[in-house]
Amino acid sequence: MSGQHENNDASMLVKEALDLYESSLIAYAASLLNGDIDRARDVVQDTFLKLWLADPEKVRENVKAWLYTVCRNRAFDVLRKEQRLDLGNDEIITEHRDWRPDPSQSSDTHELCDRIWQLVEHLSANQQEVLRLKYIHDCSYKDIAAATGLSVGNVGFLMHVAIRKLRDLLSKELSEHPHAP
Amino acid sequence: MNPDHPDLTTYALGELPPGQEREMRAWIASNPEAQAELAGIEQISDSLHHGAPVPVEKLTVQQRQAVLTPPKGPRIHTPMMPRQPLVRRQPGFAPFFAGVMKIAAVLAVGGAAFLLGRHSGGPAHTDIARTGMDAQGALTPSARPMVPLKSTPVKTAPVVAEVVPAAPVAPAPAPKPAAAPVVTTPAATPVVAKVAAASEAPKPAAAATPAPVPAPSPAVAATAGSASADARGYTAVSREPVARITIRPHETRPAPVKIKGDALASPPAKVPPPPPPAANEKTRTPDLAIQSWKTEVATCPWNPAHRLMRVVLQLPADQPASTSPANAYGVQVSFDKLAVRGYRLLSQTHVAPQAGSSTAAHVAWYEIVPNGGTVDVNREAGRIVATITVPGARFNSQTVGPFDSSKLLALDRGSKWENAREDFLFETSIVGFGLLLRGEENLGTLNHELVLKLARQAQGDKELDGERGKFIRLVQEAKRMTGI
Repeated sequence: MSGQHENNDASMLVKEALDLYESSLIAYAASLLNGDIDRARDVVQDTFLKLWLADPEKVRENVKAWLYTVCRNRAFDVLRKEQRLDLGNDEIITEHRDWRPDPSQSSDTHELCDRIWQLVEHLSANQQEVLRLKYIHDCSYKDIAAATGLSVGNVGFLMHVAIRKLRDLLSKELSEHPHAP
Repeated sequence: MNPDHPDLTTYALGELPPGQEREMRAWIASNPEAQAELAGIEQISDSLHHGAPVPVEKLTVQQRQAVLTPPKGPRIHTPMMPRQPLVRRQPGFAPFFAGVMKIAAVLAVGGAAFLLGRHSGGPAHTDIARTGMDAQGALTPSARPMVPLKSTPVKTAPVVAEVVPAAPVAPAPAPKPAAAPVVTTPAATPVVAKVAAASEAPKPAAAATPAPVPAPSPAVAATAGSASADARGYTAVSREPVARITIRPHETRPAPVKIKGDALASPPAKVPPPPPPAANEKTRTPDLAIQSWKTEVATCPWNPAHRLMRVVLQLPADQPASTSPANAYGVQVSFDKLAVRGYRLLSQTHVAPQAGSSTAAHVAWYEIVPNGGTVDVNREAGRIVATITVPGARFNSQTVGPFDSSKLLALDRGSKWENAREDFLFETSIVGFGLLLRGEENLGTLNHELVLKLARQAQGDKELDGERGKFIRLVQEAKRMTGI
């Protein structure tokens, strides 16, 4: 009797969570998996299957943070298995990226929003992650802290540094490629 | 505090706790450097918001089916939050002591319940005792004959059909909130008649008179169906999902400065009006430049089942589109049928730029009847209630140039008005005051008291002589005049 009731609860929870967070989680997982959408789908599928096994009463209170945490850990598991994970070594991440704007992308008619999200790619991995969680996935600082294991203060600091860095990059780019009116 | 402090970013993103937010606001108000820094952070934040890619990828059909099918095998209840901080074990005999205390508490509560059950002679106890149990263990009815229940007529207060007439106060002309920074657009309805009407609705019952029948809850009435929502001043989304408002940028231009005195020694030369276009010449309406736009959705203070949506468009006051009064631009607000049952435009207004600024704004307020009750606050992803588009507009941020922003989504995250920012609260109070003056129907619990509450909450510890203080005094005066 109780098992049936729990199953119904879990079923409803999974269905609601799938409706609300399916696409967001795939995007988040893809951002961690270097844009690999297929692998991101697998990770998200695993995440929702794990949701079936969780206690609905405990998870329901903050299902969003729970999903992002599990999805993140699962994505890192995948990266670890492929030995592609290098946590915390921002220098290596930075070195592998081209800091110069793509000439085809830096024409005068370039749109600001595209530019700014391209510049996000130049931030460190953890700065990118908090920015994406905030602006794409609409997570609060508290959710971000829960998902990433950072403290709320750390999240605030990372966000502050990331935005400041974006301003600097944007100013630098505009001074090099002034926009024609 | 240094303007480069992380708390400034936290404040700009609305993540600072209320107490700190107040302190931060005061500090920013007194620090021009911090104001400039805040503006820079908000510009970047707005751009990130506008340009954020919308996730669209879905699971495959097979994956979705697998997810929606419960897995076989025993359920293991584990929180699976590996990054949760570990709980440290308490040293020494503390766990043992805690266990003993728990057992003692259980015994005490159980014993008390047992004694209470033995000595109480309540009807429930008696009935249970008389209820027998048959051989199969099923409950048998008591031998006591069952007395049929009689419906006792309940004494209720007589229903008063007629409306208590308003106090014979001379219907003085309604005061216009001229001192307030935002002026609601008045309706065509004459204001004088509406003051009396407003005084009738929330009139408190006198002690000796029978209790007046409260008006039916507008939430229930409005959500009962699209037809009733329509009849009560709401537009049914099923019939007309797109609301249109018009922006006339010419009205956002600041009024020319009046020069005191009769004549100037060297009066400025009059600028001749531009020549009218030739008959065969096609005049092209310039694009409307928009610097930024945003929406906010929160519960409606006078009707918690409804939502209030504020749409703010910031535009440069001095732009080609504002040169001619004939230039008008439509703003389309497309409501989502799945999320919204009905809506009504409460107010729209042009806000001229403040001194030292060249940015004007157009603000529109909608009251929304949600489709399917209130939003679960836990679902912070929110749901889209409306999509806003402005055909013929181009977006040009002050600092970083043009950007592409073809549509703006209004997300309802279940926010409550009590947690809204003070400018939202203050404007809500002005909109509410305008509704009272216009005598709109379906106002729920809206009265002067609620308007004052909203305005006072928004005022906080600001000076009483400021604009908000003036508005509060104005509402107090209106309340006194209406005799409530």
